[in-house]
Amino acid sequence: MNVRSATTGLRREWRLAIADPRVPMMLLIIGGLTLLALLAASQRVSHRLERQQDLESYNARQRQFLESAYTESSLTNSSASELTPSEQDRRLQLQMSARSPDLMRFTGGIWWTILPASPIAGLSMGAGGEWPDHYYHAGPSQTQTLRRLMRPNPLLAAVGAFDLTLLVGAMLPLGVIILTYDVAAAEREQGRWELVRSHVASIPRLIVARCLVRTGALAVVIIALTALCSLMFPTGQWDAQAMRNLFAWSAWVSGYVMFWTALAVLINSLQLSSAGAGLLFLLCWCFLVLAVPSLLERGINGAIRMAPESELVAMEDEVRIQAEQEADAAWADFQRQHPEIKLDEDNPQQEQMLRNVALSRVIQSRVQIQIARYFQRFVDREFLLDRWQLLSPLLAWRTAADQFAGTSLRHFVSFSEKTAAFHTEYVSYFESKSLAGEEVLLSDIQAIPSFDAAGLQTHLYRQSLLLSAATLMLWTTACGLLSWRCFHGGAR
Amino acid sequence: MLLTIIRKEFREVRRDPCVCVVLVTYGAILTLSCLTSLWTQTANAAAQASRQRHAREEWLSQTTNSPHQATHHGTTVYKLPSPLASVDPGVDPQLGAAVRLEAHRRHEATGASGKDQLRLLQLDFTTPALLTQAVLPLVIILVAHGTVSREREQGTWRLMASLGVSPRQAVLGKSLAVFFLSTLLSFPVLATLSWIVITTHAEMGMTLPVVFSRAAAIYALNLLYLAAWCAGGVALSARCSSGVSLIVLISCWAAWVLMVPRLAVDLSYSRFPLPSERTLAETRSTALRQGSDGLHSLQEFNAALEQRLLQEYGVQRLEDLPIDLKAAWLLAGEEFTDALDDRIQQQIVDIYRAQNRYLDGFAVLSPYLAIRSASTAFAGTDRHHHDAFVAVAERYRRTLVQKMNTAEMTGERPGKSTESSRGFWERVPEFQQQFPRPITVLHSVSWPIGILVVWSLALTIMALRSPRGTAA
Repeated sequence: MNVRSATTGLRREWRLAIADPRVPMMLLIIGGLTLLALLAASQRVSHRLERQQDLESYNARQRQFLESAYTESSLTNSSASELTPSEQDRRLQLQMSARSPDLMRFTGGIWWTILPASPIAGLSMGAGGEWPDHYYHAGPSQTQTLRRLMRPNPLLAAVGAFDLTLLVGAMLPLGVIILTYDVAAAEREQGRWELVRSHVASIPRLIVARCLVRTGALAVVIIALTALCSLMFPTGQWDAQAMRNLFAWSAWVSGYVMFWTALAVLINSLQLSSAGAGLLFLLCWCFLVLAVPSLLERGINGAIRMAPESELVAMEDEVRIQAEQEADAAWADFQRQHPEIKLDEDNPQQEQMLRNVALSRVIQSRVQIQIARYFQRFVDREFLLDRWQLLSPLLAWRTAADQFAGTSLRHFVSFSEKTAAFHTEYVSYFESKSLAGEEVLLSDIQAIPSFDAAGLQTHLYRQSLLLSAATLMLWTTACGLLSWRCFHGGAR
Repeated sequence: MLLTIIRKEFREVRRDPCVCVVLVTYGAILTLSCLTSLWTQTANAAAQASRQRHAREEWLSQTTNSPHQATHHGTTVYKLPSPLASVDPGVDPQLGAAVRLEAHRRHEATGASGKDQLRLLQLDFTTPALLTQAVLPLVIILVAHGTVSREREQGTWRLMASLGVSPRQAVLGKSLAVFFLSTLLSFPVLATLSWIVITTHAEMGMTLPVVFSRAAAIYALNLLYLAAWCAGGVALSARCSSGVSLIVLISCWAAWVLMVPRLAVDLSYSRFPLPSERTLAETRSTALRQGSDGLHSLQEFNAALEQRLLQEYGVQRLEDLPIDLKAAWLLAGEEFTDALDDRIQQQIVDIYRAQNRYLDGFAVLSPYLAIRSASTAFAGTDRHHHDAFVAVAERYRRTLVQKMNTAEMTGERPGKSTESSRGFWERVPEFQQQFPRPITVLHSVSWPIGILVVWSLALTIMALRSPRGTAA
């Protein structure tokens, strides 16, 4: 069979498919649903972008306040008079702290860390409903900074979001079932089977072409609408990586649809009645889309229990109490590590300050270990899920969709870890000034480290994606082989 | 005649091995779900009750001798799950189960068991309520889609007419048969509800008549909802071919169960966004720093309290008051923060109400949303019940703080012996959780119930109105 005859065959099947009233109706429904999902997504992303803009201007304002401690020119009189009473309070507070590295270490609210939205962030809600895309600097406490200050959205958590991941993962297969369950059975039941057999060279090829045309049309509608809407109404900065992610997303949609096509071919090869085929297809859907993910979810939640977030804060308090009991040892260690520091006997405050630095270093290092463990549990859970995604193509699809949209749990955990690292960097920046006994200068304020999570939202975690691709291929191949076997058996 | 048709339908079901396997599997899954849910919820209720006893004991055996310090030390109250949460946990796992109580600030509920749980596209329909409301309709579709159309396709529909069975009778009989079957399949839920009613005791926070009426309402509404599905399934089967009715029913199921609720929730949260925790905290801290929230100021509260005290003690000057004035100002400060917190809380409650009203509007499009709303309300696991718990906890906090600050003001202290100390702390009564009254619940869900009744009636009428092939 050459390419030309295949194309002709597909074209003929497309003409037949479009004459079936179910096909245009389903294409319209899927198109409408895609647009609805994209609309909901654009609302979510717009809110996120607005919030990010607010936070960025907040960060810039805090810098201005700090700089105004050195020169009033950074905040003109007119703009100063526009400040709200609380902003004026804040400005005064920062002006008082700006020159002292010790005060700067302890003053909170200087920055927000922000995870920028990927241009295709709306395609999948992922862990976005439970994990924040921003953290507030809560002073010297790292655990307070990493608190997820999100008002619970119980219905969203219980019901879930309507996004393209759900549409493609759960509803598109229903569309596939509706369009393909009776591709062969309808011909048999209407008495045209023998006629069809006499006109085509290969029945398996005919069924594959019919299924492929119908499912392919569904996939094309979703991919084309999504790509068009994403490119025409961009919600974020497009770059090469984001484009690649959109392309890969489309490839995964095709891969997932390919699996359902293979399953449709398999069911049609079983020579069941149309009702029987529909029923079997529906049971497969229930098993792969409802049963397996639910059972796996329960199993994994039972296997890896997450510590409540409040335990992190309580842990920091415990660490602090314990470290305070060992303050002398910490001080001795500190002196050993910094032989260059000479104590000024006439300045008892210096020793106190250095003791504080020594203690806070001990606390920080211990807290960091606990924080790393806390986040590691989430990563471990993701690894476990990666392994078990082989059980259902839906899981493989979900894993990939979240990755491409930059809303997977891994993205949010990485962002949290990056925030923790940034917190340490920020504290160390002023700590070095404290140790050197230097005052903070305007140039130091201008050189305060700034948080940058660019690229994080479009980063892909390859191992998990490879497993997802392998799962889709495995299921598609298995269905393909089984159908070949059924057709082969039938021919005999 | 109806009985004969029902018996015939049951025979048809028994003869189809595929349907039998599905029914048995479904029944087994529902039974298992009821048992595990009952076990989990019982353990959860026992753990919460034990935590509450422990917190009370900690309060009574505290060693401080300053009543105001005790308010800072505070206590915690724990939410007892509704006894009916075994059947429908609703949004309870997503909301907090404990509230920390202390002076000067109102804490949010914490300890939500569902937080940080893995959720894969939220397609977990394994609670008894979801198995009945989301999965059982799929089983009904499986049985109902071919009830009439198969007769027509096999040519037995005319045969039935020739035997004197009117099409309406046939459709009614088939609808009743599918309904009886779905009632039979929902038996584990009925058994679980009965068990809950039988084992109810006063410590659960609900009296026996209340639990009974709620359980009866849940089951009755579920049956009404299932009746709508049965009537709808048979109605379509009476008008279309088996294949088409299967497709339409599956599409309806996907739209009602998967699409509309999610879209409604998504849109309601986008339309009425909640202010961030940070915004609220900033509003509060600014008001505290400035001693005014724009409407009331701390001075006003101080002045009002001073006037009250002067009148109460019948003196002219503050200096003549026989009490600790600083402690009295604590009371005024508390009233100020309470008023501030009430305003902030009201802002949030208003947004939740607007979201709920918006969601209720979507119930017209999806009876699933209506049944979920009514079922969680009667099970006591919706946001309304959670808000009621938080409100009772807040009232308790205010009583606690007021009693302790009053004691501080009048110079009363716990005694040195353990008994007198316990006696002093016992002035703060034990926390009693109260569930909203059934009439309040009924009022709050009158709209979804109305929608369910309309849906059921409409589909039943549609099923009974001249099915295809009547003329023949």
